[in-house]
Amino acid sequence: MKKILSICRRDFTSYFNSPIAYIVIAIFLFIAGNIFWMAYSNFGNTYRMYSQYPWAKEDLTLAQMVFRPFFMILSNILLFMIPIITMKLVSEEKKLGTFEFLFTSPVTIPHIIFGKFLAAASFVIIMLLTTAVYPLLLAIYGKPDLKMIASGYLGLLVLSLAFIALGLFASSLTENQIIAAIISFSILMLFWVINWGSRNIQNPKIADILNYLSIPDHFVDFTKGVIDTQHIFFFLSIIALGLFLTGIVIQSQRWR
Amino acid sequence: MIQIENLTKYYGLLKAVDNVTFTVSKGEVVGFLGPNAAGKTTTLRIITGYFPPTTGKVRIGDYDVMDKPIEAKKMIGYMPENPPLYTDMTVKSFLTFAAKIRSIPRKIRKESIEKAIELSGLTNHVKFIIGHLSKGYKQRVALAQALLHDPEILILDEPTAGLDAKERMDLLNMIHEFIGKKTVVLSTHILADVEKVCNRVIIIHKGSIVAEGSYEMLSSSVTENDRFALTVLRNDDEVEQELRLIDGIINITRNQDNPKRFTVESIKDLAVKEKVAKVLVEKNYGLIELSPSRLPLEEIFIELTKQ
Repeated sequence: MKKILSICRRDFTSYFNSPIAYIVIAIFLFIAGNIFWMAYSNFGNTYRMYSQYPWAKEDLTLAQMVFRPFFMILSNILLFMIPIITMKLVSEEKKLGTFEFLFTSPVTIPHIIFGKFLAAASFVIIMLLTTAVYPLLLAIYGKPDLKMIASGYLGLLVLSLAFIALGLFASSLTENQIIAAIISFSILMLFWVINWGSRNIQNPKIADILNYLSIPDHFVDFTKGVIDTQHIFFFLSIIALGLFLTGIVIQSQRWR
Repeated sequence: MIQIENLTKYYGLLKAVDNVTFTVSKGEVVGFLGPNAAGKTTTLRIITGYFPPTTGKVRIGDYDVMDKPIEAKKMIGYMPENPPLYTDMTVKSFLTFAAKIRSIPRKIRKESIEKAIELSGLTNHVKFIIGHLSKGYKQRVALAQALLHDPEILILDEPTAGLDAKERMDLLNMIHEFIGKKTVVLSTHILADVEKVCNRVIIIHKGSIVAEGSYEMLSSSVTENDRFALTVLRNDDEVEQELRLIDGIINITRNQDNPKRFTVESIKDLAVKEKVAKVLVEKNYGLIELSPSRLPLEEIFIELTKQ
C-alpha cells in the first residue's frame, strides 16, 4: 500500500511540473462556471414564467433544472479532459525508459497500475471538488435537494474513474502521449455513442447489448438522484477491465 | 551471490543471449566485457528482473529472480545504461521517491538519501531539476539511486560512459573500495576501467561467454606462450640479436618509447628465461628489469571476439 501511495504521489505531483495540469484545470473551471451560470439563469427565467402553474411545480427545482443539465454537460467535458489527464501516465515512462527503473525496484505491476490510477483519480476528484462551490453557494441562498446533488457527484466520480481506467489502458499501448490521448478519446467516444443506432437494429439481443454498454445510459440515472447498484456495478466492471488490460499490456511488453 | 544458469533470451527471432552460465561470489568485482551489441545489457536486465529470460534461471542470494522478484530486487542496486530518470523531478525528490519504493524505513530514509548524495558527489545539485543536468550529473543521479538502499549487489551498466576523466577516476576508486564488501558486476567496453578495478573478467561475444577468469587465465587461454619484459642499460641492438639466438624465443618487440625495453614472447619453459637472464648478465648489458608480463587486455579482447 505504501508503495502504491508513493507512486501515486510521484505521478500526482508530476502533473504540476508541466503546464498541462494548469491548462486542464483552468479550462475545466471556466466551462463548468459558464454552464452553471447559464443553467442557473435559465432556471430563473423558467421559474418566473411557469411557477404559477401547479403542474410545473414538481420539475421547477434547483436539482432538476440546474444540476441535472450541469452534471450531464460536465460528463461531456470529462470525456474530453480525461484522455489528456491520463495520456502520459504509462506512455511517458516508456518514452523516458523509467520503466526500467520501476521494474528493477521492488515493486510489482499492480503497485504501478494502482498508483497511477489513484494519481489521475486524485487529480480528477480535486477538479470535481472545485465545482462543489456552486451547490454550496445555492445551499446558502436556497434549498437545493442535496441528496440528488450528491448522487450526481457520485455518478461523475464513477464515470471519471471508468474513463481513467480506459485512458490508462490507452496510455499503456504507446509511448507517444498524443497517440495515447487519441486512442483513449476514441475508446470513450465509442462507449458514448455505442447505442445511438440501436433503435434501427432488428435483432433485439444485439440492441440490448449495445444499450447495456452505453456509458451515458448508465450515468443518467445518477443525475436524477437514483443510485442503482446495477449502474455502479457497470462502472466498476469498466474500471476493473481497464486496469486488467493495462496490466496485461505492460506484462506482455516485458516478455517481448 | 549471483548464479546464472543457461540463460537464453530471444527478441523475436533474434537471439540476444545464448546459453550463458556464470556465478559471481560475494565480495567479487567482476568486469562484464563485450563489444557493442554482445548481449551485456540484456543479461544485466535479466539479472535485475527488468524482463524475464526466454529460458534459464537467475538466483540472487537465496532468491530466484522470477519466483521472488521483490526479495531479489531489494538486494540489488542497478545503474542502467543511459540512465532513465524522471526529467521533471528534482534530484532530491527523485531520490526520495526511489527510497520510498525501495521501502527504506522512514527513520533512516533521510540519512540514506544524504549518504547516497554525498557518495555520488551531488551535494551541490540536490535542488536541480534532473532534465537540466549534464550527462555526467545524470549518471551521478543514477548512481546515487543505485546506492540508496546500501545494496549487497551493485550492477553497473556502462557507468563511466559520459564521465570526464576525474569523474571516471572517482567512480572507479569508489568501486575499488567495494572489493570484499559488495558484489559488483561492471559492464563496459572500456577495457581500462576493468583493468583498474576488477578481479575477474567475463567476456561475452554474440550472446555467449567466450572467456572467463583472471587476466592471467585469460591471457593463457589466448596464447600458450610465456611473455616477459626486460630492460637493459646498454647496447640494445646487440641485445636483440643475442636474444634471437636463444632457442625457444618466438618474438621480440621493442618498446616504442624506450628502445631499451623489450617484450619477449617465448615458449612456456623456465629454462628459456634462465638462459636469457644468464646471457644478459654475462655480456654485461646492464640488465635492470626482468618481469613477467601479460597480454594487454585489449589484445585478449580482440583475439577472443575476432569471429
